[in-house]
Amino acid sequence: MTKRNVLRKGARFGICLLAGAFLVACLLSMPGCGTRTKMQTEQFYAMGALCSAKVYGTPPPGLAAAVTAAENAISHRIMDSVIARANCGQRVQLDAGTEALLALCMEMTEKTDGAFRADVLALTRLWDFDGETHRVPGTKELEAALAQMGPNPTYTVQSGCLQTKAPLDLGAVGKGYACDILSDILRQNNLSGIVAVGGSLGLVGSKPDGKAFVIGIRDPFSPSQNAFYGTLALQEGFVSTSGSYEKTFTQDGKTYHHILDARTGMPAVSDLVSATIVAESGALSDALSTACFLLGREGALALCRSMGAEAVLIGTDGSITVTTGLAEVLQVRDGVLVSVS
Amino acid sequence: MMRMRLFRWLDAVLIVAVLAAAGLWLLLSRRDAGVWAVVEVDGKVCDRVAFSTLETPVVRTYGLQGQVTVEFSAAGVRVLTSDCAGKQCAHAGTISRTGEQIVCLPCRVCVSVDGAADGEGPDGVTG
Repeated sequence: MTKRNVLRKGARFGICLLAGAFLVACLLSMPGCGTRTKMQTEQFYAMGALCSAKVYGTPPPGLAAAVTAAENAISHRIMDSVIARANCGQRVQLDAGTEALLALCMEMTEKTDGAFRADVLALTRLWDFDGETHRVPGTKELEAALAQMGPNPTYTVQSGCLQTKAPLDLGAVGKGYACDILSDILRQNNLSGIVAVGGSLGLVGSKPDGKAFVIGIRDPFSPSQNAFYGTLALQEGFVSTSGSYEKTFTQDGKTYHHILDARTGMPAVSDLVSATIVAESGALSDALSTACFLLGREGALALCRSMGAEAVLIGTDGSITVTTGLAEVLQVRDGVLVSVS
Repeated sequence: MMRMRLFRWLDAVLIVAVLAAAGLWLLLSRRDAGVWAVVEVDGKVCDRVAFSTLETPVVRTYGLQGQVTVEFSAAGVRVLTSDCAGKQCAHAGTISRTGEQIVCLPCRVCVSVDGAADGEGPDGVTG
């Protein structure tokens, strides 16, 4: 073979290599290919919240139906739900999921010295933060509601049967529970993505590029729904946030938030404006976010340690306290004071 | 004796084709992919507005169980008024980047910004 032939073959090989590399680059950059697969989103309303499943792939059928079925079991607003029937004084048979939720609520009541209660509907009805008639209840109304609730939980679960004296409101765990259900469906279909029910999230699988999911923590001091105080880079897990900025109303110049202390019947006095919890289940992260807000910074840190959960706590002064497990994956705005505990 | 050339005409065609394709790819990848607002009522998409190219603002009203009035302009999308009690949607400001969203829960109206490319914002929002 002559030297010229070798050169010509080399040049052709180079051109073919260039064309091949270019073709691969084009294919990878196309939507639906390689690491740039775009999420597909399904949205629906359930549990009084906007629910969504952002999935790498096609969202599986039955997502909305599964959350609606859970809502039909645990929502006190749905006339024939198990909880609504229990609230009417009936002794009702529970499914395993609802029984586990009530056990979790009982545990949270113990851990918060009664500030967190599941049988709190008498109070939440009075304040009506979810409705159009919210107002500060009168003293006698509050006393009557607190008397109905008593100092300890009034519900019992025996052999899977629930009975309660004071009506139940599972609003503090419902959205997280729905995230558990949606996440299970994604796993059963070998899909990865993020499910959301209101501000509660479930992270399933991993992103196609292998990077962590980036979760924005809403800025509690901004009215914007798209302003973030910080972000967390997380792999699988569940995230929930409770904050005093979420549902509020102002009466006689004073603003009231929706996280009620069941011992006083009033919005909790806390040194936090927002508690974000990362835990192994949606129901647990949801319950803990409320419980941590109720307890305040120091109590929240102790509770998270005892429950194996991680937290990002934003104080009324704007400072952040983060647990060690999240310290390296938390990014915050410039100027925000962060302490690791 | 026939003289061997380093490149034949077919090689030249191949080079030109690769260069042309590379140029086209660069052109397409640098072009603004565009963004649009997607309005969903009760979880169903009912409108798409390519707001970034609007010369004058467009105002439309949506909602089945309460009405939400939305303004689309080149600057972005915002809720002007809402029948809901809290008015959090009306105070949410203007959105313009892919992934941003304004939700009016009581009226079940959701306005989000979507685009051909993934947004630069977070994958999910808690709070």
